[in-house]
Amino acid sequence: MYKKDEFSFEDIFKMHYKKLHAYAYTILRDELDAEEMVQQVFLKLWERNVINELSSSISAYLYRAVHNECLNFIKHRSIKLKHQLHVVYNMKNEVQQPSKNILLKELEQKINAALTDLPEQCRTIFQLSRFEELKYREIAEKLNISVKTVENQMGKALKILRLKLIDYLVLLATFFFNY
Amino acid sequence: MIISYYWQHFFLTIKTNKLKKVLNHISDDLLVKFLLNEANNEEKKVVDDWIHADSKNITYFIQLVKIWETSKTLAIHSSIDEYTAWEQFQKRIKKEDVSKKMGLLQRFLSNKIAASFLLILGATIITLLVFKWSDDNTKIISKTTNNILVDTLPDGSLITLNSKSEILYSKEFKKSTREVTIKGEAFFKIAPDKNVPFIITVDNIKVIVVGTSFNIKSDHFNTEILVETGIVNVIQGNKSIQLFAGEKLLISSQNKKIIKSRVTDKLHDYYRTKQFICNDTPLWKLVDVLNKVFNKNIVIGRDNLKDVKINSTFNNESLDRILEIIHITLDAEIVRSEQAIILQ
Repeated sequence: MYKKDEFSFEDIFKMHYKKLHAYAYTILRDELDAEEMVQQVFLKLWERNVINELSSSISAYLYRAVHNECLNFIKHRSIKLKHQLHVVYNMKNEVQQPSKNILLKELEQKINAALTDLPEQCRTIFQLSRFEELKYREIAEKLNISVKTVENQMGKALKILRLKLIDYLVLLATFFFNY
Repeated sequence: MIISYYWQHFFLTIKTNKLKKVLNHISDDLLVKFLLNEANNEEKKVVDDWIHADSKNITYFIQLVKIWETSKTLAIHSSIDEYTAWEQFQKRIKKEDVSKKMGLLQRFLSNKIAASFLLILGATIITLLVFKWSDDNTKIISKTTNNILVDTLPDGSLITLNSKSEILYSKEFKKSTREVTIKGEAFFKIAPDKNVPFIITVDNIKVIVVGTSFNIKSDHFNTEILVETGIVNVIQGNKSIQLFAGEKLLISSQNKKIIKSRVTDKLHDYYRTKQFICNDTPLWKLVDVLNKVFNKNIVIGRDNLKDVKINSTFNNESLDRILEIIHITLDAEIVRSEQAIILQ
């Protein structure tokens, strides 16, 4: 895809920045934190000066790096926030009556959490398919993998998500039969 | 659809348990492929049959659809632009460099040999980086003194350079951006290419477009961007302003004040069209332009004349003729001295 030296560091930065930022955002749900993650990834890349060695798989590398950076960030943050979140979550459960909108909102949050738990490659492929709306073939080209792998990983992603969310999905279905 | 559904239903209920078992074990890969419309006709048929084979299958499939649909709401369209991000990134690199040098200094004090090694290595890296980062494209500068210059840029964009202005650009544009730097005044007609933004740097201000026409005028005090067609993005510091056709932006270089307003006349076009089109144009503005074009020093002697509105088009006329028209229509006296022409 990218030939050696064809693109400068600046080109690569500008080409991928927005998409990586959107990716980090879907993981962290915070624009500023997401920005910081992407900047960190590029900073590390620049320091190591290895961009040319990555030529064929730069997209795959960047998505992977952003994913890892975000997970590390969450790990550190979660220690701090664990207690707070716990309190908030409990309060919510006590106060709210289940309604369709709330259940859907919660499903959204659950999906988001479940996405974060997906293995890296799986998560990246899901991202490219869902949020960047690329076709399987385009994803395969971008990440330098086979279409078959994309197919497998997408199947795997949805399967994992379904298993994690099954309680919610059943709950939604029992409350509302209007599918 | 309904008929085919019942047919399938009927058909499937009389199938053997063995087949049912096969149909119950469809792969998630295939289902997702079907969901994303990536499946071929044969695969579509398999999934369709499977879905209708059992109500459990329908539930299963609907669950996948639900996940897929709900997950869409998690997407965002990043509001940050890559140019600002790149600027931030460059600042970081600079900071990083300084801290690296400090580190080297400490090592130098503790181990001279290692330090000199590192220094050589550092110098090599810096040299390599300079080579890598510097654009090996030849830079082209076009300058005007008293003339007006029409130039075509490497991408086919047209630029008209007013007198006492200059433009700097590479002989070949980069793959991802088209970048130029200007001083003075220029009119741009950008060749449309939405994948390769056109970026003009003028007095620390960045103007980003993909295919529009607009005028930029910059002097020591102000920068004015005036849009004739399309949309223009102006970035100044951390502010980003979008301008549409018929709008102009005035940025003061002293206090960074930004004023957005409607374009009311077409006088800015004078150096391109050789016409002075005044449409409710105040006299001071016309005088400004006349001074520039004819290289004269015309002064408005009476304050109440300054803002008098002029409605007229001067088509390739001499300065004397224009002054005569002003004299007649505004009833202003014209006094000529060696240093100046005074309207009063």
